[in-house]
Amino acid sequence: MSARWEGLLEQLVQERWSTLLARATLLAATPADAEDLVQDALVATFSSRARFTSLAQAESYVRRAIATRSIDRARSAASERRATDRVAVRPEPPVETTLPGLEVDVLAALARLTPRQRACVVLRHVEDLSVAQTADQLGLSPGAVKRYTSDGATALQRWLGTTTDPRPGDHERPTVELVDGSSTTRGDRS
Amino acid sequence: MSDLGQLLAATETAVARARATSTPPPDALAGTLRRVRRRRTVRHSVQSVAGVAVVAALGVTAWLGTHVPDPPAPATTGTPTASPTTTPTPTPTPAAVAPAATVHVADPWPVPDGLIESTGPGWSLVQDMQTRTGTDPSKATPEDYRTLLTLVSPAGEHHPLLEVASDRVLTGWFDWTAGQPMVLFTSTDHSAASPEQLAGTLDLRTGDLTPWADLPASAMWIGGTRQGTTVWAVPQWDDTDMPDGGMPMPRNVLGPQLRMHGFAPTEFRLTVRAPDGTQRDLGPIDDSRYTTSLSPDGRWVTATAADGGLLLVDLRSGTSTTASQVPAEPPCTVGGWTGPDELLLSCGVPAELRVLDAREPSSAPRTVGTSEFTVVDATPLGDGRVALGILTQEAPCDVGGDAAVLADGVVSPLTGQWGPYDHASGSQVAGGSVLTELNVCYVGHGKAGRQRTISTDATTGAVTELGSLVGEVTDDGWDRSLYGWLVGR
Repeated sequence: MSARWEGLLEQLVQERWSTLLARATLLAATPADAEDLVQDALVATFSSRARFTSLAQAESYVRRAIATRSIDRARSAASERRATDRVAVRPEPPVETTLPGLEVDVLAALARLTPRQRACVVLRHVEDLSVAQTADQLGLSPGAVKRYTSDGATALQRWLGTTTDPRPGDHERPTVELVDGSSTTRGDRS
Repeated sequence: MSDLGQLLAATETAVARARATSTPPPDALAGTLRRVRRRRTVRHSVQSVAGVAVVAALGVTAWLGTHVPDPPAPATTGTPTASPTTTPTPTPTPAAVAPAATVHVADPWPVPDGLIESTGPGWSLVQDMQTRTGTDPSKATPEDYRTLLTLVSPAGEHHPLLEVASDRVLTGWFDWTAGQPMVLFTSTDHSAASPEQLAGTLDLRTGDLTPWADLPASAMWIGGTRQGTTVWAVPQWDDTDMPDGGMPMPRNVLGPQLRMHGFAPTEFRLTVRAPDGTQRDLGPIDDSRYTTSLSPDGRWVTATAADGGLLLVDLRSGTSTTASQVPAEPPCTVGGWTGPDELLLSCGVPAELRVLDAREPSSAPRTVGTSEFTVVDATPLGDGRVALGILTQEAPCDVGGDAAVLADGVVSPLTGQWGPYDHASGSQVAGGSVLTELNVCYVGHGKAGRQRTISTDATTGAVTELGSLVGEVTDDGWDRSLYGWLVGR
């Protein structure tokens, strides 16, 4: 008898793999990274203590984990090393995606951004999250979100020739205080 | 949505469409399942350390492999009255079961003479799960993994004691008195067709496990004393009682959180095991409303009474009594102990902290302070102060209490030297410090600090990192993940 989580995980992989991979493709630099990112997010999600009652709930959790993990993976030298190792032993290349020219250009442009820029642009412009929501999800200060979103969107606009209305507040340039393992912004803990 | 947003969304849709007919890589599901199973297996070890059951660490087969024999004559539950109700007679079971054969589960590593004996409160044991650097999870062999049982000093020095045999999985350890060479432990032979889970004492010098033949490995751990008495909740089940899914995920992260009521309608019986193996059956026990908690000196256990009230069981006399003046509103939860007989209740959020004298269960709990958040795991520090955890995270991570101290009615966080995104996933108090596993649970959004285990001085707040929980890369060819911290008493 398999556990409930196993059935849910299998269902998620079988039914939602393409959509999860698509989200990861926006946030990862390479197709191989995207697959690894999805798997990392699945492992993180189903290894956690969270309980899921539906496929949609689990998918939502994994999608959030993909965004967060995209930054964590990039920040972690260990993860990069493991990813390199995995690629080195991978017997066959990941499936290449055949896309129209514009979408290929978009992915190429996204790949030129930093992981934080990619994550902020995707969450702000695709998910339509607010600065605060994006900051909360990614663990960045609001100022950092504004900076990454603005810089990322400006770069994409330049490379792709699109016009983009700035997200409210994105082009403000407050003093940015990064929040990561070494420098911190107090306030999350009361 | 902006033009850029529409373009990005269209790209995402195009990628999904282009990949819609493709199947995941062959190793995607299998590899992911393998990684999750491994993490969840060791997670149960972590939970066991914090005082939860050893059940189901390797699944249903192992879990059901040790059925409980028919219990002795039933004892009565506490009655919903303010008056103590003595059980008819706690039924002792003589230690008639012959000791089981010793099982060698791990090989010793060389350690300095007298190292184990020189340890004191604040030293800890941990499972060091290692993976050979560069291992592809989908193609890993047993040789790519090894597990060391490691002794960790309060300063964070690691001393490997044992290397676990490759055909065994350690599913949890419960109790260790610092300075002693034996630890209460469970292990499973995962290579067997029908894995058998063993619970018993493990000799840290030899790696030999001496099973307790008198106690099923599926018994849930409630607590123990320095004198060697242990307290258990023993399930009375058959196959049809298995809950859907087999391994219910506990609501909480750590602590006494693998709840009995998750296995409903299985009945559990409160069982006290003396060091000589003699058992006393103190009757059915339920944790559906109030969780179980053993008082510091091992006299009292909390539970849920038949009417849903707070039940106090005196393990000395076998008396079960319902506390009659615990307020219904705001609802109170068991917050731990502020003294040998003083039960701390955390009522509402923000929490009013109330203390109930277990010797006077009909008395009204007195207010001793307030807390912005629910309080858990209160443990006396021995100097009048009480170490405790405060639940600052939302569900499903609303369990691991961030370290704090209660003194003179004031709850003061001990997190001044923690990172802003660090949150506890479980704590143990010993030697004047709080050992805390950080960031094991992720609430699903926001930033989480690095997963690691730290020791926080309960007086100064000074933090010592004891180890990284997951995926620490080393230069010796093995990546390390540390699980299942157990602090010596």
